[in-house]
Amino acid sequence: MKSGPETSPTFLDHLRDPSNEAAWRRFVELYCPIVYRLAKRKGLDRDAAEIVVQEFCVRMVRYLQEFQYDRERGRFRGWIRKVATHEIFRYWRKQSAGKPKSTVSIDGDNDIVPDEGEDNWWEGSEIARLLQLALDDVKGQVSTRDYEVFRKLVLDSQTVDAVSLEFGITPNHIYGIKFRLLRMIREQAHRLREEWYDR
Amino acid sequence: MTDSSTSCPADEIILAHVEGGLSPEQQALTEAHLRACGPCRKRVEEAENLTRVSKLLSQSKLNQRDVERIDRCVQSTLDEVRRTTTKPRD
Repeated sequence: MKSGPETSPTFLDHLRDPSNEAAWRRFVELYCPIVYRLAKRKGLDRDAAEIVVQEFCVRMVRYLQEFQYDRERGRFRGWIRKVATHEIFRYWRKQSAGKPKSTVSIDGDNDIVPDEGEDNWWEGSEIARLLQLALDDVKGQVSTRDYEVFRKLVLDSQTVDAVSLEFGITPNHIYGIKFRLLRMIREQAHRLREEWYDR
Repeated sequence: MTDSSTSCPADEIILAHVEGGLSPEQQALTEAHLRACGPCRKRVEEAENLTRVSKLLSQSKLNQRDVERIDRCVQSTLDEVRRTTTKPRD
């Protein structure tokens, strides 16, 4: 597995404390969509993907309060991914009497070797998710109009001309809004990343 | 419009240049400026990076039905965490 940045021990301490709702909210908001998309990527439908995410979360709540970080045994982020993959295979086993078979062990004694494509997918999903969370944070710092311009342009993939016409502002103004918000989002994503991971 | 041949273009012009949103005349003026201005070429690199951020956001967008399901999972997990907090310890 790729050796990207590791989760901050401080953040892990926060997660061991179930009364720290802010840390838990950050954690589930970051990982639930990634696990959901992984489940769908592995061929599950929406209902099944939701069940997998719920099972994943239940395990996280149970495990994280007792999780002891051990750098020698592997990375916390790698472990999260292993638990998610394990839950998907567990769902398959329950539904279809064992097809396909998993060699996953979340104890780390019988690890699967993820392929390079999946490594990239997971890393890319984490980055994309951090950007989405950063966008949520930035939303409260800009005017409703600017956010809507950005949303239509970037998230709804509308053209500059269409957005310009709808809001009655020039294309240059649209590009200015896009530039400013993208920069804010990138900076906020860096802050979130520093909060989460060791530099 | 900034006169790109003499002064540094504004951020929106740099982004429009990167995304192919300038008219041919604006594009020519901007390119002429960039050939002579190192700091603005750095700004183009930043705008290219921001365009990648934009693409990632666009590609990873979930549809509303998926968002609702994920929100349910987030909420039920936070409820479970709260229950854990209030559960008396053995």
